[in-house]
Order: sequence, then C-alpha cells, then structure tokens
Amino acid sequence: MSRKEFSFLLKQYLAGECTEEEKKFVEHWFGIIRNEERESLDLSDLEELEPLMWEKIKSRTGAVATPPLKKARVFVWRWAAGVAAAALVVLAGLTIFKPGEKERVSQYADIPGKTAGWITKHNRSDRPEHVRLADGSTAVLDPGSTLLFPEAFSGSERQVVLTGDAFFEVSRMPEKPFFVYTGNLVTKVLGTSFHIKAGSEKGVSVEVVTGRVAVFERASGPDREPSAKTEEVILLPNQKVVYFEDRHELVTGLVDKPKMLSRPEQETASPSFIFEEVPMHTVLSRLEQAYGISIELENSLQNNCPLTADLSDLALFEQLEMICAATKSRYAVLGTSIVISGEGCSNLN
Amino acid sequence: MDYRALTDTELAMHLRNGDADAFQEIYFRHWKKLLMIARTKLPLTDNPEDLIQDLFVTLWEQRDKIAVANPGAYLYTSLRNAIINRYRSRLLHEKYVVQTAEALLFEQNTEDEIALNDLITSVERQLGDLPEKTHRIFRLSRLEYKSVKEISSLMNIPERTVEHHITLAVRKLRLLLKDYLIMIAVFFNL
Repeated sequence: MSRKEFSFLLKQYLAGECTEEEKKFVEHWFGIIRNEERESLDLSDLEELEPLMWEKIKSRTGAVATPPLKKARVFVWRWAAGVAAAALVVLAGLTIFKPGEKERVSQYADIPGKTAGWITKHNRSDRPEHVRLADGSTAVLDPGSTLLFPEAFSGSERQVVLTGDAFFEVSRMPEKPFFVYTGNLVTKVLGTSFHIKAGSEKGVSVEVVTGRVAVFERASGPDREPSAKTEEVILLPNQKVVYFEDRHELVTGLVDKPKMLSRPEQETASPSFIFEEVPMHTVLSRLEQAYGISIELENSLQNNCPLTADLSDLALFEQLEMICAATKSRYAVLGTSIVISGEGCSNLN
Repeated sequence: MDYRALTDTELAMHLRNGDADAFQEIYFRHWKKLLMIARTKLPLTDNPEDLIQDLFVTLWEQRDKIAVANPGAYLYTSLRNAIINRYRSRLLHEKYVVQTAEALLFEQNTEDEIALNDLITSVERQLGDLPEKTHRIFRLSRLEYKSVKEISSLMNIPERTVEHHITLAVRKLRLLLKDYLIMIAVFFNL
C-alpha cells in the first residue's frame, strides 16, 4: 500500500467512512505508533505546564474570567480565531490542518521590530567569535557577521536575529523552541547544531550537523500573510537547504562533507566499514545508517553484488568512489539522497 | 460547589450550561494524560501543547452543540482524530526531504505490493488468532488509555496478566504493521 493509499484510508477513517475491518486496522496502527525521540518531561516541568496551558486556553476561550469592557474587541477577535482553529479540529478529515509553523510566522512576523533592548554582537575581528546565549546555547559568529539576541529568553520561544554566517549549538529545550531569523528565512530548532550561511550572495543556506531543523520563509508583504510560495522544509543531519529569496524557493541538498551521525552512548562501537564479500545493498544500508542519508540503487541487479573493501577512515564521498570503482558503477547526489547506477555484477569477474 | 466531587457526567451537564468552573475541572482531570499521549504519538515537529489547547478550546466552543456525556472519552477521541489527521496530511503533503528516504524504503517492496483490501483482511485475520481477551485489553490500554491497574480491576485479573496481554498484542501488531510504522518513522527520526 502506498503512502497515498494509506493517507486516503486515514481520511476515510476520519470521515467515518471506513468498514469495520478498516477501522480496526487504523486503530491498531494508531495504538502502537510511538515517537521514542521526544525527550521526556519531568515532574517539575509538568507542574509548570499545568497553569501555563490553562492560561492559554482561558485567554482563547474567554472561559472563567470575564474580560473588562474596553478589552472586549480584542477578546472577541481572539475568540473568533479560537473558533476557527476549533473548527479545524472538529472537521478533521475534511480540512487540511493549518500548520502550526505558519501560525508562528504571522505571529512573529514583526520580530526584527521587537528587538529593542537586545544585545547586538558584531564580529569586527578576523576570526570566528563565540557568543554565549542566556539559555546555554552558543553561536560561533563568523567575521563581519552580526547576531541580535535578548539578555534573557522570556516567553515560550527563544529568538535571535542573524546577519551573516554562524554555527549554532542549541541547548535542548523542547518546550521552548529556538528560532533564528535571517532576513525572510526562519530556522526553527528544538535543540541541535547547525550552520547558517547568510553572508554569501548565492542565498542563505542552512546545514544541519545534529538533530532536526525546520526552515521556512517568513511572512512578507504589508498584510503579513504567510507566503504561499514556500513550504516548510525539514532538515536532518547532513542535509542542507539553500534559500533563494527572489524566487521564494527552498532547495534541499546534501552538505559538502557529510559527517557520521553520533551514536547513542550505549553503542560506543562505531560501525565497522570493513567488508568481505558483503552484498552491495548491505554495505549501502550500513552507510545510510551511519550518515543518515538515503542511498538508492537504481538497478536491482546491483543489490547482491559482493563487495570486499576497507572503507574505514574515509569520508562518505570517498567511500562511494571506492564502491563505484569496485562495482563499475556511478553515484550522483539527487536532492538529499544519493543514487548509484550501474549494470550489476554479472560481468565483473 | 466542590467540582472535584462531581462525576464526569455531572461536569458535562454543568459544562453544557456554560459553567467555566466545570470546564476547568475537566481540564485538571484530563490535561496531563492527553498531553502525554500527544507527546508519545505526534511527530517531533508538531507541538503537543498547542494540540491539547486546541482540544480544550474546541470542547468549550462546542459545549452546547455536541452532546458530550463523557468529556474524557470525547477528548480522547478528538485527540486520536487530530493526531491521525496530522499523519494523514503529512503523508500527503510532506514533499520534502523525508520523502526520498521513505520512497527508498518502499520502492524495494513494489514486487510484493498487495492491494489495500487484501492486506487489511490479512492483518485482521492474523490478529484473529489472538484471544478475545487480548484484543479487549489492547483496546482498553491503547485506545481508551486505561492504566494497567484500572484494567486489572475492571476485568478482575492480576496486573501482570494485563501486562502480558498488552505485550503480546503489541508484539504481534508491530510485526504485522511493520510497513506502516516504517512509513511514519521518517516523521519521528532518521
């Protein structure tokens, strides 16, 4: 079943148009999906969250506290927005969810105007400069680049404004995402490290080293309507996106020198890259796992080509060159994945 | 009036009359569990707190339109639908990075692709091998979010037995639904 069919099944489920059997299937699937990646909350976080969330619900519904008269208009408007959001939930299945990120865009579209009182760090030296932020995150600011940031991060989001190039290491605070504003490009992270290069004329690029990053275009125009042209792009380690502002385009690709993903601590042994008579697809899936990059074999005849090689201590593209040389094939980077084409190995011996 | 002493159904009655204190009591009773479920099931890029807030706002806005006899059940069902809807829309619209990785996983399987209906039938038939009791416990645990303790007293069987049935069902389902877990795993991490 393709993703399209599956998504259609989910749609029918939400519309209540499933057979009993299909319904069970979806519910079983739902019953076991689990995101192991999200950091767990501890008890004190939960205690803080309870009143915070309630305050937000209260302000959106107007429940409990009746607002003073002069605030009534604002209140009504918010309430209306609440209803609109609510309608989306109720009509789930008929309506496409308005992505949360886009809401943020319009909400914070005026960020660079709100930076009064923020610290401006301009790197006038000729070497990269470390900047430490209030939450423990760091930015390594390249010469000639400027970072604007608040003395302390208040509110539910951490926001900084960058001009030029910088490498960020963001402390993990899943409940308080970190936003970097670079011109009209917004990079959202939960806790990760990544480069932003806005100094070049070729366009802004974001390269991910660890974690996950969402990149999207900021609302523009007088009405601050979210731009309809670019959608949010989610980047994983070793992937990058280049933003072409004039074309409102986000183009994804791989970084120039992919790095191996760091292993969880319990698995201290790094993967072995010494292969003896190992089928090609096994070798490639080892590489895929190590770098988190998908590698595709164009011709299934290549799948089982036996490979004997020591690929240790080589960079990814060198490893690929060796594999291709041994199997008489070629590789190409297509977007964020690598495709290897060749004839198969029946004629290699 | 002490709202803490009221049953869910009584709270629902007050809610229908626009009683904000009843609404707050419903929030206190359910927010944490709802948030926990959203946190385990939503893709990393989705904010669980926002989703839970939406649910409660909906409950309040719709309080006189929907016959909510059991606010808890209503909230859990809404949450399930909202989460499923996120996946639905992502499967359809997330055209970016993850698609290539996912496409790779699937292109390899094209030869043994089976029609949707056959597949569902086959999964359900294989699940039919599990005892009725296991089914019921799985539903109570994973779809109605009852705790092991609650299920144990509800069905009058030891907690360890409950755990055993849950493990049994989850293990079997993981195997049968492997492809559909991989399909969404790309939204979790890679």
